[in-house]
Amino acid sequence: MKSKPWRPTVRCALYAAMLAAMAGCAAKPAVTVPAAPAALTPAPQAEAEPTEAKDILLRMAKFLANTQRFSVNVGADYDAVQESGEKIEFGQTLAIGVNRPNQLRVEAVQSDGDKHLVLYDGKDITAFTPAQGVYAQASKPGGIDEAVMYFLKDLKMKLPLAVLLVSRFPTEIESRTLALAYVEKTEIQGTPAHHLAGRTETVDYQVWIAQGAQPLPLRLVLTYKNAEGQPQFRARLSDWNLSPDLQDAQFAFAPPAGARKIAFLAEVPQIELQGTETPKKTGGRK
Amino acid sequence: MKNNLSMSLAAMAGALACLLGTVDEAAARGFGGGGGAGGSGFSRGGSAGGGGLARGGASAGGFSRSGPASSGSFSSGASGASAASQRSAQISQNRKPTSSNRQAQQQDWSSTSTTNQAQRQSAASDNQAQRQQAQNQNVQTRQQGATARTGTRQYQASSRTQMRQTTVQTQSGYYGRGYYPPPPPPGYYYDNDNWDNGEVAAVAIGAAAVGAIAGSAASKSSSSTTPSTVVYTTPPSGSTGLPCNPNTVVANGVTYYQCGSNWYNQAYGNGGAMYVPVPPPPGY
Repeated sequence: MKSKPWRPTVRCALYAAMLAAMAGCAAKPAVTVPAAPAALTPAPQAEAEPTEAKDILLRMAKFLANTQRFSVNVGADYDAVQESGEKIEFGQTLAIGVNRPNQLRVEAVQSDGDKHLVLYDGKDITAFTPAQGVYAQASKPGGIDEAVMYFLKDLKMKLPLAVLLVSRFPTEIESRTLALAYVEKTEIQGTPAHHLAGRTETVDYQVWIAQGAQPLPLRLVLTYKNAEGQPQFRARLSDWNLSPDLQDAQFAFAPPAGARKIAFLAEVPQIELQGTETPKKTGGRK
Repeated sequence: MKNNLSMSLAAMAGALACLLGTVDEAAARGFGGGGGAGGSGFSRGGSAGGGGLARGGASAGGFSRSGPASSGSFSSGASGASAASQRSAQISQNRKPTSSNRQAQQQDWSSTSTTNQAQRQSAASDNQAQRQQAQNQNVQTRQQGATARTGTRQYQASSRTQMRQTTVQTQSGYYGRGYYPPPPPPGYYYDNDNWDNGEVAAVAIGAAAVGAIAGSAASKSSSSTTPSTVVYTTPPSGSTGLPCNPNTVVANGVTYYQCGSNWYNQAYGNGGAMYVPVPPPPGY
């Protein structure tokens, strides 16, 4: 191997070719890749597309941050590690509408059918669950960045892929990334894409970015490497629309008749339970 | 014929051996590859690659939806466990190796750029000891927090912020030279790495999801400034999230639900409305 490294390589290639040919005989016909969406078809570019992983990543982040308005649908799956260590996959879909600097709408539907709505109209950020007829609302003027960060950090709420929605996304992704590499050129739903792999202190991420003039993220996989069981969050981003028809009314919350306003969980002064009475839990981890 | 069959089998075995060897080598290369386009330093092997799964018959009922991955965040609060003591232990275990690996990881990230690499490596070495010290202080703080979590939460936050400021200052030397952006402008959270870390489990301790609250008493926001009044109302029906059929009290515009010696408020968390244990209303 040391003296003649090329010979085993050639032999391997021959054997692999034989094996591939044999496997190919029994393989199913290749899956037809759907045509690329017109909006994401690589277009002739005035400037050369970067080839370095970091440049590709930051180009995507800056493109998204500088896009004034957009809508996108997200289909996401994630692992929930149970007390037994068993990983169970749950899913959700998100319909996201962004109108910078101060309007945001996220409609989430969980895989069990539960629906949740998060709205920001430039003044108030609201979370609403139609099936329960309850909502919580907090005042946070300033813009999407401020509202989203307040929503997650102070109100302790979840908003998947929130970092993609803020205008400081380039700064966030750059400052958090400790290592980054280019994996391969590939296709996502027929759209040519760059596959990158990055590492932060707590999350390993993979992102597939559309090649061409609109470097949008098409797929994301986040691995929570420090968490028990190293669960993943996997998202497919589709139906990107960079000039959606968004009306002010879509971002303002009008409580339906009978809807009750309650406080956010983080605003309620909680205590430990006394005695043996324990509310029924819907699951949880040790 | 026999010889041909033997040769074919040998060829197949050889091909498999070669492929396995290739996978092993690729796995050994890991994620340290540089940023060259079309790089192939990634293994497609691994336990999850086959997608093999023994399907069980259990439905989603009874399974927890929670956990760090449900947040879809680009950062994590570490373990995602609900017990404070476990959180502390796991964070301690997890962070040390992370910290010790940080230098190497940053070299990987910097390896995508060919400039200033030597300077960065030098600065990283200088900063390693400082970072380790800060990490140890952080672990101590978290262990204190495990024993008196509620009381020291604010202390932890300020301590963490202080540590991060120190780290950022340190890193400004590391990333200085125009490579990394300056610290965020005033008004932004300084500890940027944490604002979306999905640390929701600790908040939700003791919270119970509401099944159906049809016909429940009206509840108002805790921010209401209604004068203090106490009104008994009909207990809500179908409150499956509570361990009893509660007495309901409205005080200062907030609805309290009583089960024995415990009191609950309804609050909005991830997943919608929940009951959370709270101090008794005034006068109870």
